[in-house]
Amino acid sequence: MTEPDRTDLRALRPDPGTRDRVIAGAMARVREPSPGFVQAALEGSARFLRPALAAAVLVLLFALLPGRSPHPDLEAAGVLLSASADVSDPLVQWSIGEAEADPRAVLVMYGRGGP
Amino acid sequence: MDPSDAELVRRARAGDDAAFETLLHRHFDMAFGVALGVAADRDDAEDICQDAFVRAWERLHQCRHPERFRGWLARVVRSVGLNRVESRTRRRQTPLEAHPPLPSDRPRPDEAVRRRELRERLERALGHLPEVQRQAVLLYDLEGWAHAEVAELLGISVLMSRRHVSDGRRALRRRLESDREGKESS
Repeated sequence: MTEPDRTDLRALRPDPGTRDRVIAGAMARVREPSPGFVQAALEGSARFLRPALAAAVLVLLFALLPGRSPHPDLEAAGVLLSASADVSDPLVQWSIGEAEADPRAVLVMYGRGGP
Repeated sequence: MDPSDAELVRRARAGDDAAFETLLHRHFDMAFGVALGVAADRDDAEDICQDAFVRAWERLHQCRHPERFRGWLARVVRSVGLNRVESRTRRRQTPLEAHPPLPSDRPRPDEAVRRRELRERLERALGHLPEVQRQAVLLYDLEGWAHAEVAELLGISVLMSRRHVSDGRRALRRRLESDREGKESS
């Protein structure tokens, strides 16, 4: 071979085993929960907001942005919340209930100054 | 009919990770080509792809034109690759060895040997090219991208894309010839 052409360059392509291995590794990381991230976010929010409100905001974020957080479903967020914040706080309870019913409506209410 | 990239992006944004996985299978060869263009090393290219795919999932909402997912993913892969090349000391977060190879259609042994030799020669030659030239040749000649697409990804003009492909091919030819002559004389 004296000149590389498209046929020759195909030798550089990954084999199917490589493709499957790399994608499987990436998807395992995509699907694995990262409670450390949630904990850090919760603590970070609590620095600026009343802890209960921070927790409520996070609940809403998880509800509003499925796929954007390691815990896309509200139930998972709620489990973490119970370990990190006071779930008996009426504001948190109200937020969870409202977010389950209609997350976007809750965000609008917060935008207007809260419940 | 297979769903379009835009449709799969929409589903993935709604939390459907299987849709995202389909996108990765669809564009893996391209992503690997971009990563190889940055790193000039297959092992590094695999790690770059894995990191880039996770980042793409985390930032999928930033893909403003889902119908142009391929170009967006290429930019993510290149960005991750360039960062990795700059900080090679970073440890692998998830060793690929943790995921055993899956069954695949393997070529016959003699064909596999021929392909491996050719691949090694090409990789040695590619390793001597500047990164932009390497990318331009791989994307244009291997992936069949248009010069306009190559130019957009690399942040250069179409004219420069043509020049990089032309210069890259010439440099590759020289390297492959000297590689062959070196083997024949030894």
